[in-house]
Amino acid sequence: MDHHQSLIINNRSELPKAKRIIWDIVTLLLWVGFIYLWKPVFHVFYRILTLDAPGHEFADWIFEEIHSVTFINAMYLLIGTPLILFVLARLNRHHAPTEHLIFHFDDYAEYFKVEKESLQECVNSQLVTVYFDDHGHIINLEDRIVEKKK
Amino acid sequence: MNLDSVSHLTWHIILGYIFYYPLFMSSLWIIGAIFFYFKNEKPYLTHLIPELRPNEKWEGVSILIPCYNEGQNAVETISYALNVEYPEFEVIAINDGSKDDTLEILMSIAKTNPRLKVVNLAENQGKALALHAGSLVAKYDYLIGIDGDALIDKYCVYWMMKHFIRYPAVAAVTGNPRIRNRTTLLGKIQVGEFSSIVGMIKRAQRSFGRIFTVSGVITGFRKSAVHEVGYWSPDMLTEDIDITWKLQSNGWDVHFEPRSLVWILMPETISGLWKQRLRWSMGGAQVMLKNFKVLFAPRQTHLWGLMVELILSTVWAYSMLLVILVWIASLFVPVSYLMPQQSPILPDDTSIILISACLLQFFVSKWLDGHYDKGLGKNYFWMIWYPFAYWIINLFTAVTSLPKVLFGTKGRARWVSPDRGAHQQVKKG
Repeated sequence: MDHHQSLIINNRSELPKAKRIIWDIVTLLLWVGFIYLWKPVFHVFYRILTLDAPGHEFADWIFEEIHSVTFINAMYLLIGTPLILFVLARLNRHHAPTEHLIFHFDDYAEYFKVEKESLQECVNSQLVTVYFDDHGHIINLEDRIVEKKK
Repeated sequence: MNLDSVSHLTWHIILGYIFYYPLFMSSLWIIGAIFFYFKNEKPYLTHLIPELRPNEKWEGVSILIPCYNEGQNAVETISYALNVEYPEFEVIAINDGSKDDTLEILMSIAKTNPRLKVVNLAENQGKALALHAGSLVAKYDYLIGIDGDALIDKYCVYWMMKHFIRYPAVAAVTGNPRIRNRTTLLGKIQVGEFSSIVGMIKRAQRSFGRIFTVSGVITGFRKSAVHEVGYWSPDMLTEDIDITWKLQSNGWDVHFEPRSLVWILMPETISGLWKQRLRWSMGGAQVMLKNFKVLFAPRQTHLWGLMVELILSTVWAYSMLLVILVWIASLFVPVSYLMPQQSPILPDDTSIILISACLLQFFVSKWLDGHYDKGLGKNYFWMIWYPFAYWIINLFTAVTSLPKVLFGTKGRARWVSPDRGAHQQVKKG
């Protein structure tokens, strides 16, 4: 998929240097700020790592914390909802009426109220002009291009 | 329970809803998208084109390209469409009363390309009616609509047609739009957004049921299905959302095909982005109001999930607005228990969970769409902006759109000349 690379338009080098540097720095600061917001979590990890206690006590403590009611409910919700949606999506099938699956050329001409011969000429022509009325209904077709005077 | 405690409880429910709803939806999208990948994408990763079964054959396709003032993009768009790999197809460029030289350009290309048909609308009519005209004079029973500034991938048609040929109940197949212009910060953020929000949600929605909307920029249609539901609605701001609901409420299926790529241009200015997002949001609100009745129709239960999600998202946007307003008020006057502990806008130690969920979503979507858009990971550095800046834009467009749809003037949706990125603005200057 290397040809995709040629489709990408990235003229960043043409932007003013000051603008580029400012956006780079602000974006970097946002990342730093975001990581800084994790400080309380890092602090807890640090305390666990530096606490002088047997490993199984940590494990018990973490296990107790994780088994809070909220966490279990969240997990039920996260597993249960997709499962219910999967099942419903497969049970819940409202099919298109099969007798209407196929329409033909005459049906299209009739729907748009255009003459079949005129429509057939336009289908076969390379150049077509279509006229609409003020209500958005097709009123005429021509198998040539009619340019509006500018 | 007295009035005070009811108000207190309601306020805490609102605060909880604001926090948990996006977290829950993000998790749901990630799970659904990963399921979709293993079921529908992984088996085909090494295929350039899909293989047909013994009783199947490739059917002819008409590629419809509505153009309004596309003089700058027409040559490139039409050339890509004419060069797709597919046994039998025609390209129909519909000039919708352009004010520039689009028609002259299309006619000059047609002289040397018999596969190109030029349809001229005597007056500007809007995209929906341009598609009506193209569909009417199309030679084939399968239509693929792309925008006038979009570049279709060489093998896109094969991947789309696989669905129509194999599954008779499929009325539309929406493709995978990839953003070309990645010069500015806005462009780079949208690259991530189109994978993380657009692509991931479509994957998840297909896993769990139905799709909220096809992407108007690249969608294939079964002509008979579109005819059955009365074609594209000219009075809807987003004809793509509307046709998706019309087809699905009539029992038709809509699929997502991530290998049907199209390369598109997106706004790279704040005002261009605001206009585009407001239109999308207003289109969503229009469809919500028009289709609200599905919740009371037993035959439409397959659309209940989509409608509930749409309503919940709207409620979320207004809840968020309420909390922001209360926070601003609390800066000037005491507001009792409503006083937020922290700003709902400025990040704090609880919102890191939401930001992390957003970044995780970007990471998963980078992995999913990285199969088709190499080098996607380079944009990850800029994704930190999404939860900080983009959420605000999307929140305010969501809040603004509903009253505009409810109380605004109604009429035919017409074209507006969109912002197509910094590179075209530079050229114009």
